[in-house]
Amino acid sequence: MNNRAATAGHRRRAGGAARRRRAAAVALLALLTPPALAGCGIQKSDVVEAGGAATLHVAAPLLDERIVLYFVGPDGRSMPVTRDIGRPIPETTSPTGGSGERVPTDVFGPGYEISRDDLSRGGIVTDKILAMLLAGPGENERAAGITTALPKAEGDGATMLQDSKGNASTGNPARRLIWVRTPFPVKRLSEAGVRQLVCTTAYAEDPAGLVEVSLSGPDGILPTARCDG
Amino acid sequence: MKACVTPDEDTGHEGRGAHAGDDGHGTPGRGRASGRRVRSPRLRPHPFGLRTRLVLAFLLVAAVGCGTTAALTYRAARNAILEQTQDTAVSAFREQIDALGTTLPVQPEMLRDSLMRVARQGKPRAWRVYAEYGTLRVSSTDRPTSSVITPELRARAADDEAVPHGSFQRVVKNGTPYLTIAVPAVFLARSADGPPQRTGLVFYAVMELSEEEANIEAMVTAARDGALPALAVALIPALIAARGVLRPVRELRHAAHSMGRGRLDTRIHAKGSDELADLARTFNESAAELERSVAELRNAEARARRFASDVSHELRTPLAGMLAVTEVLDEDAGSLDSDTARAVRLISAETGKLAVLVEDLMEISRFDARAAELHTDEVDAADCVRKTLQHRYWTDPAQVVPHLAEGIRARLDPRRFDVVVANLVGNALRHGGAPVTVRLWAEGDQLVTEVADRGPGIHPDVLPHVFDRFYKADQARTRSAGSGLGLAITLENVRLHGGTVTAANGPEGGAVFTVRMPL
Repeated sequence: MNNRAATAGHRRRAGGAARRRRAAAVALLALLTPPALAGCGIQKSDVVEAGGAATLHVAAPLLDERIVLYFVGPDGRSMPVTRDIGRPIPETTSPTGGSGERVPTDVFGPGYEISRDDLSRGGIVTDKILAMLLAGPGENERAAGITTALPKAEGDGATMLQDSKGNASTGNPARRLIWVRTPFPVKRLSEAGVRQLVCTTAYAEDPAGLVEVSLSGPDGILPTARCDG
Repeated sequence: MKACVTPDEDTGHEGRGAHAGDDGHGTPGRGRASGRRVRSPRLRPHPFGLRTRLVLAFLLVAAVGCGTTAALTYRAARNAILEQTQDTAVSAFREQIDALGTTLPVQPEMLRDSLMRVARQGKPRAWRVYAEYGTLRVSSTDRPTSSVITPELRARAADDEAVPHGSFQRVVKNGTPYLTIAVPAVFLARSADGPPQRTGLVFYAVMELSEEEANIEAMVTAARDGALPALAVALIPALIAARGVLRPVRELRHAAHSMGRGRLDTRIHAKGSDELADLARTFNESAAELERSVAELRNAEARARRFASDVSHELRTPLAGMLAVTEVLDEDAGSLDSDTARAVRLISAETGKLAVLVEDLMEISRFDARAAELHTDEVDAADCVRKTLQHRYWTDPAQVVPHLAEGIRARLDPRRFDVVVANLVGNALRHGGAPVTVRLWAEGDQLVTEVADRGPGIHPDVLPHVFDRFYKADQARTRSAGSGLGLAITLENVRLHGGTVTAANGPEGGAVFTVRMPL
């Protein structure tokens, strides 16, 4: 009896070994088949990054004869446009160490003051550039789906500029800090709108855009921001 | 009809000459000489035999080898082809976009002209070029945008990272593979040193990869065309290997078969030094050993038979003289005194028994030497049995009761049939009990003779041995009236006729011997 049980067990074990062997053969085949079957022909792929972006040559207004306004594309991203000013923006030749005297101005409505130094600067001033920004995209720009995220400037309401004299910045002493005062509340501005103001101001003040901008409105002050991230 | 012979007629005219009837115990030489062709074992087809398994294993190994090599080569080559095309196309596209001039915002007509120019310079092959700017869609074709460009590619091109990147994607649409490239455009805002600013303008190029696909398909075809002949070639060594294994196995099987049929001189031609050759050599050695042993046994048996035959022959002549003397002594016994007379009669009786024994021995040795001849004749079976009984004076109905079917004609040797019946009846009278019934009838094409007695019957242990020579049913009874060879001689005689004899116990007790012989 014992003996028979042992024999049966042996047979069962032998059967198991045969089954295992067969299973191993099947596994081997399964392992070897995919490379033979996988991907005949060209398969679709994921998006693969390849190299940098292309640098377009914007010829029409020459590099130093243009101003750059930042508007918003249909997808909510920044869309810079260039405008021709006809003549180069003159370098800031007058020494910044001016009188610092503030004079009232009626450009932006009553009650505004402007630094005399800014007024003494030749050429188109950032104020005007900001005014152009607030005026919104032109017709051809709107045709391309370009919009603005800034509220319409009511009347002659505009932006006022203050210069921080370079070293007043808290973060980076190498960058100038530009104060921009808006006639509308800034705290409710969208991110794209803030970015429009910041970038337009930055590239108006500095050809490389390397300044810091602080927006202030009737409702308060936003933290300083940069255009280049 | 020839009259049945008497039992007293001598049996001594057998000699040389072929024996009739085949008892199935032919010697090897005889078996071969008898013309009975030794059939070679039929070759059964094995669906999963060695050959199939070997061929399958070879094919599997070849297929795996070919398949893996082909697949790996194919993948490497395909990737190389695709990479080269992609790299060429992406860098060429970026170079050409780099050379473009534009305004911001873009002027669609101007951009379209630029795109047409780029589209003409597709590299490595013609491509279609698309540009997206805000809501503007400009292309080098009549359709403003392409359905091949995926949203993922668009999302990646418009990604808000600090440094924008070009990217590409392979897309399969309606079975046609395309390469789509997206390159976002940047510009220098107001100074050549400043960081490039996004323009919001993204260029796309769509290029068909049909030529690459054709190349890759040619590679697949080449791989297949290479692998299939390789499989076919693998068949040849597979078949050769299978043959190398199967031929010795087949030889071994034939040899084992013919050994089983008694041809002990069968040998295999063993060559080579592999395991199968070892097996063949072992087989040959075993066969030689077996042949030697069998030959020794046969020689010993033949010697023993010849000895028995010689002894009985040598005893016959002196016995004949002694019988003559004892007959004379028997006649004179009456005139001797009682003790001497009893001794003389005893000697006479024992001499007679000795003569019977010697005759039986000679008969048996003739059977053993296969020198027994069958002289068949067509006779009346009932007549034969009756004559046998009359000649033995078994006519007393209290002793022997014959129930004989009349008119059965049978072809048999009357002398040997007489011996058979006489031995059975004598045996029944000696060891069984009277009355002994002798029945004779025809059953189909067989003549059945049955001898039944009223004795105690045969013990079941003894039944298988009743036809053995000198077998004593009762070991204690060392002396018996018979020679101890009677039933053995009966058996041999019946066999010579091609019949059978069986011993059994009847339902009412008593031994029953049944002889069946062909009519």
